[in-house]
Amino acid sequence: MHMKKYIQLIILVGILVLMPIIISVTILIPLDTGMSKDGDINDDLSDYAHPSSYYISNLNFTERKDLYLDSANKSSGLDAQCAKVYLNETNFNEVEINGSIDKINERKDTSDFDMNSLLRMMYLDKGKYNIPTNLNTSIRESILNFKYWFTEPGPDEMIFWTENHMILFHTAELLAGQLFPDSNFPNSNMTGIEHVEHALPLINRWLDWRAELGFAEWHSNIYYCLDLTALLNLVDFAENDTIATKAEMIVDLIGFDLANNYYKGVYATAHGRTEDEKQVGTAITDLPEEESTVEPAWLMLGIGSEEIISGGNSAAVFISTGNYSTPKILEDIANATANADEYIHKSRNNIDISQGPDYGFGYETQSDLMFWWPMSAPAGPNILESSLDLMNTYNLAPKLIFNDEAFVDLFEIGSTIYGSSLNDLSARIKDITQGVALETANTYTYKTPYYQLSGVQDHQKGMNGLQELIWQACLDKNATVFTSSPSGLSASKQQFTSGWKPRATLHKNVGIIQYDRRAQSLFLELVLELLLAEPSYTHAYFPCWAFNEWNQTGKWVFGRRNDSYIALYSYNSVEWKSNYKLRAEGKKNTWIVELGSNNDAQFNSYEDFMNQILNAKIEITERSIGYDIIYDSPSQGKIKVGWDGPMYANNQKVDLDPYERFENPFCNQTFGTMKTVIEYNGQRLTLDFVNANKTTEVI
Amino acid sequence: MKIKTFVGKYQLINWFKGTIFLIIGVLNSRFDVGYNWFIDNLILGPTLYFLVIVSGILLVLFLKSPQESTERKLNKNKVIKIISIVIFLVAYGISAVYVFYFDRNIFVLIILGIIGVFWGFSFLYGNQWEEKSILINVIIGFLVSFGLIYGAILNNVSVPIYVYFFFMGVFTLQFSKDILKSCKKTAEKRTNTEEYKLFAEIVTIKKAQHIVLLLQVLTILFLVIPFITGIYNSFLYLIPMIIGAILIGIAAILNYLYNFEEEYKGRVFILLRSGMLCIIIAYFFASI
Repeated sequence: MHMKKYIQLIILVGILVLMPIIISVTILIPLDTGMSKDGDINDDLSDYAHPSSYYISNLNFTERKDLYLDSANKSSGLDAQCAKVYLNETNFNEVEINGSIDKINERKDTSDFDMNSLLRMMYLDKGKYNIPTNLNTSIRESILNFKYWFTEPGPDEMIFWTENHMILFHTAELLAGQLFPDSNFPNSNMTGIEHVEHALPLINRWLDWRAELGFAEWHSNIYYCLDLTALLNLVDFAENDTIATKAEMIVDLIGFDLANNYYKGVYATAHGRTEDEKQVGTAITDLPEEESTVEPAWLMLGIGSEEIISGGNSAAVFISTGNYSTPKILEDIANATANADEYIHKSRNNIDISQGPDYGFGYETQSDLMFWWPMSAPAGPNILESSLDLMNTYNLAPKLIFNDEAFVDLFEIGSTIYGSSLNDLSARIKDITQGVALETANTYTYKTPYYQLSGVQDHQKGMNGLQELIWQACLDKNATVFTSSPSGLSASKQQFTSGWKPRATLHKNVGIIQYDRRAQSLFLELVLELLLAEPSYTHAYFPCWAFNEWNQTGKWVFGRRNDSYIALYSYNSVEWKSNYKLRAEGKKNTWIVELGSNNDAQFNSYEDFMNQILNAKIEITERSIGYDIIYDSPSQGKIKVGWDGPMYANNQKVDLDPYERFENPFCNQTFGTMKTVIEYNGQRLTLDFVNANKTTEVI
Repeated sequence: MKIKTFVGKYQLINWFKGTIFLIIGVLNSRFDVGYNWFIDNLILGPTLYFLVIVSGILLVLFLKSPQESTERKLNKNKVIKIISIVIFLVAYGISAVYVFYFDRNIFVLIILGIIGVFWGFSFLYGNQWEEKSILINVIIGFLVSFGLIYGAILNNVSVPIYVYFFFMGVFTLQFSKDILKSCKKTAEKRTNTEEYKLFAEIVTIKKAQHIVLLLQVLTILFLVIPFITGIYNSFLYLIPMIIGAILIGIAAILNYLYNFEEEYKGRVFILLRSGMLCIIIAYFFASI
């Protein structure tokens, strides 16, 4: 063979051997250059620098009520009209009220919100007659003609069955029935008394579920406010003492949740239901929308600051125009947790679908479904068929139950493809159907005067949610950081507050958050990829604009807010998409967060914090699902965690779950029991739901 | 060389068949595997296994080719051998990167290593074996069917039990097809240009037919068993599986009735080929 042939052969071999390796190295292996990037020092934030003490009100409960009433009186919204009735004002915003009446008469969605406000106005106006006669008549007509439950006849566009809607409807029915006991309600052809009899057991059931199992829409910074409006109406106007007392105790429990989890004016924990608008701000001039719980939290507990008062928050207006008074112990606890050097709070809300029978719930009856639907589980395993039956029985609009009527068609197609029952199909695609269900939430909150890290531990990992925020780190009011993995099912305005759920595991000031999701049936993958254009990344909300300074070195991003520090690491390479969006390509990723402050013994300064974190050893091994992670935290030592199994900190097993209903220095309540005892500083608050008895005592 | 001859000589159909079975293997074992991991395997797995098949088919070509004089330093057989080894090493190199950089399980590499050793022994000693047609048929059957297991292993070491039955089903069917081919060649008394004994020549056509019959029965068995073991989509699997089993069953009956020593009947082979198509469809449907 000639030399030419040999050379050709060598070239061929070279190409065959070297090319794939070169391609692998250059394309498949992401380069980690240790790139550094620093943001400018942001002095504009100095006006917003407030210590924890700033967020504790100097006013007492009565003073706060008066201040809020005054503000509400100047406000023009529907709820503020209640304040006007309460204050015997007569300058009502009739346009606003009539707008609500029209909405109610057309039975638009969220009419129940407005109905509770109108009913409150009517109750507050009893014997006063400040509401003009024509307006009074219109309100009366709308109350009598309203549809109070989906079992009543007549068309509507209303969602009845989320947790907040449910209590709002039941409350409205009770108050309407009480208000017009002998009148005929034409839509239902029932009298007021009959409506009262219908509503009472449903309200009692709802209250008992919350007392025993906590909330389905756990820690919602939107819907707790609406729960409060209904509950406060019950506290003030329910003629049944048991119901009024239980409602008052549930308000106390919400207050306890707020006291434990609020940090510098932010409900800085995981949320079962929230929205991007409440969480994401793009600049100091475009802050996140105020959380709906901010004003009631300030009013009830004195946490937050006066500057947030709008006078138009329904729950806050209802508190300021009612008889509810927050037990002093709750306000003291809110104070204590805000100032504690270190505070750990654990709590549990709700149960898993599979645990239903253990708590007396089946999957078939209407009553069963009214437990499951409020936790967004109408399509859940074992539930889907019954849900469709109920939907057909009452001719309910699929869109109102499943968010999109196309899902019903997809369920039918899916069950045909698999030759299975609808319930089997639901189990097959449970990462979606069960993922959207707000199952057991074990929430962990770690708080110091400098920062708070909070989230729901190991919750439905790899499943797809609808409106959840799984964890967040909070350094102050605007400097909050969290991550998400948006899915094709995420609404465009829910990119940070929905999507594929991670395995979030938190230990004190350190969190390890792994994202991954199981490969689904081809049917579902096609729907996700082709129809819904599944995003191919995870991302972090890291508002550079809210930090005094921020820095990036390789995969670590650091931020300083006054004397509080945060470090956020992404296993996949990151790219800034804006001054608050940090994106890492790939649906599988690990994020690590560590918080610190100049008050921590191990960190001398922000620079020292960064240096120690950058020198910390991280070993991440990819597994077929999730990772094995070892992070040598400068503050907490060696932390080990995988996709499954326990988390270890310094070889000690971390308590991830299950938690009791409450586990903290003030209260230890076993999950599933109905008696809450809260003790602090010589005071004891006992909420006994079995006997519908609330006691406050000095011990 | 005409395209048809090229396709036949280099067994291009088997390249793609083997690759498709690897994809089916990946698809059927993905349910406890992360989406990204699965997509990586779906892209890199077929590339990797395609190279293994090509190298294997070249090995088969090497074994089939008449041994040339060793006077020339680089004869046709040596070129085939070198290319086969190089392609295999490329596959091995890629899988090494895959395993060590992307944290894939080491079995991905170990199995390829075992195949490599097998290839090596075949290159060294295969040609010295007078009855090497058995080896050739085993290699082809293995190449076509092993993708199912290899694809599954890419996802997870714990391979679902039914994937093994899938593998056995394809292997037995492919093996029976190749034996049938040897029956055809022997019955038609074609000139054996490869100068080695065909399978049917070694065992006689009659015995070869018996073996084919046994393999066909086993194929049907391996088609039905996974239905019991719980596959992902047993509903869609059922229809093509039944059609495939019927086709192979008819082939088995005809095989029993015919005597290829007297006259070879091509319809049996056509039935088996159709059966193979049904199996591909069934296995794919099983993973939907």
